[in-house]
Amino acid sequence: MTPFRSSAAGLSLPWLFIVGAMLAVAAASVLLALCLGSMDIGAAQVLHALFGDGGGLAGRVVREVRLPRVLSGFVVGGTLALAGALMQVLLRNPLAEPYVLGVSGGAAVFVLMGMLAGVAGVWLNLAAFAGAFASMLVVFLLARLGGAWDPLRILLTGVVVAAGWGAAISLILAVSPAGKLHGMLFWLMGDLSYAHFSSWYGLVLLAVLLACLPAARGMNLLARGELQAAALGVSVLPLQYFIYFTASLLTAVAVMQAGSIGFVGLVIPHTVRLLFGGDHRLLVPVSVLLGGSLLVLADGLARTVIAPQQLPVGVLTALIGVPVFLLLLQTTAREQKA
Amino acid sequence: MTVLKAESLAVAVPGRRLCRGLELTLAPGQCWGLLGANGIGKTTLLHTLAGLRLPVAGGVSLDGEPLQILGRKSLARRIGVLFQDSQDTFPATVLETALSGRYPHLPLWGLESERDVALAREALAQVGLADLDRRRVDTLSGGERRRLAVAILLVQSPAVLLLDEPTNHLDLHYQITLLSLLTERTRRGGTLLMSLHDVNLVTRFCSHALLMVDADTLIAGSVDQVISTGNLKRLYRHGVREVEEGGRRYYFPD
Repeated sequence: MTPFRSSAAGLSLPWLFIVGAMLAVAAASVLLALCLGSMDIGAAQVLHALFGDGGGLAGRVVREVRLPRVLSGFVVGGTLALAGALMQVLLRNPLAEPYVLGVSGGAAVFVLMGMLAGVAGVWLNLAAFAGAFASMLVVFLLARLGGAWDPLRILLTGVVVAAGWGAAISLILAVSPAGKLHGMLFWLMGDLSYAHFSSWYGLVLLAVLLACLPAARGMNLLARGELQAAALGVSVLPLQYFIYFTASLLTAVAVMQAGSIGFVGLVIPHTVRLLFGGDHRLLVPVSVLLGGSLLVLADGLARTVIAPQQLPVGVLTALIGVPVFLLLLQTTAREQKA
Repeated sequence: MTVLKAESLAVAVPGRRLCRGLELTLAPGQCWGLLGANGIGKTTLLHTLAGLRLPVAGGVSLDGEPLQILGRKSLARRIGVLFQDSQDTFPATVLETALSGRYPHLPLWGLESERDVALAREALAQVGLADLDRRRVDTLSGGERRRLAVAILLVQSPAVLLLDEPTNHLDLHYQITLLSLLTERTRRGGTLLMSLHDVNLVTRFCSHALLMVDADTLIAGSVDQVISTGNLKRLYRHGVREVEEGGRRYYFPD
């Protein structure tokens, strides 16, 4: 028995407990990731560097090299997990993830064209955001103008637009000079070394998270269908627009920092559902914390496993996430039979 | 005392008009049975009366106020709908699902209180699901899901009930007990309209009936006036016989 299964309401204390425990997991992940790197720095030194002052070279490495990257990773992971949870409820589809509607494809096409043209640095991030935003608008207009705005239509429109971007990506890769391919492939697989941490990203995530919390009870009903939700008092269309635009915005922000890192957005919300139930009032904040933790740990490993070479973090998220998730799925399936 | 009123109401789906010029008043204490052939538009009419769909002409009002000007939440506090089927892509537990009936009664940031949980448990007990409160919805049988949907309505506790084939999947016992429960509740001041395919349930539980023969022919009135072999033959294009037993009339298909 998982101790906190059913999040039957009225149990506000266990919820607080769960969120507290997940905050602890997040803090531990960040601390661990700050210890990982080519220079040997222990947890005590990391804490001293963060909360004390000075700490010499180790302190500077922690504060100026590792901390920005770890924070980027946490924000990207949390952003992707939240975007995934939102997409799943919007499309009422357990296979939905942040990239399913082509947001990342649009970003990728713009970024690869930028790389091809020799653009670098923060301009690539901006190209990613522009591409993501353009793709989001295209899907929205196509799905909306056709009349009925329903999950299946949004999903099909998005999947087809994503397929179009996929073809464009292949085309660009095919015609690109060999010297540029390595960077392009790394970007496509998702890589935090492009991330330029800015607290704005963190603020976007925090703002969306806070905006989602009062909407979360409506999301619980939306997951059971638009008509049922409307009949119980949910203003369905405004809620769907809200989810669509915030999920797309989150995805765009994540993609512009780190390319398309797979897996986090798909599996973290499911993991939270399996562990703590599907109430979005809990699912939304816990997904952010677990998503951030997973990506921070994965990035820590990506930096160190075959150092000095780095692995794409997307590979590591899947390598850690796949066995954990499958194990969880097996145990809960067995539990339900019992 | 809530009155749901349709005035010169016209309902259509793309390419087809389902009804026009419907005048209907659901007064307090009345239970209406909605009868009609498959695909005639019972569900679409029901959704229009619930404010879930815009009419092509005319309008629906609740105590004199058009449904469109009422917010979703205030509408949900006064009108409850039972749909033909339910979805559970992301299944919750039975208790959580029953609690969703409290949605329109709670503020945006509100967590359900002990009282809300007590209401949900009471509703689950009324539909015979008290022992299944921790079960996941996707492990329930068809009839159990139907009873859960009724429990949500009881928790929602609106004055107007619009039920789309409430007896679907229900066994004989629950058909009778749930319809008794809902119609008795209605007689204490609410109003109810339900689509049914069993004429004998209409004569047993309803005071009034609305027969959708075609878009231009809607027969409304008290059950005694409206339910007759002649009207039923027109309605279903099938022969119907009437039998009297214990002072009650029963209808059987030929």
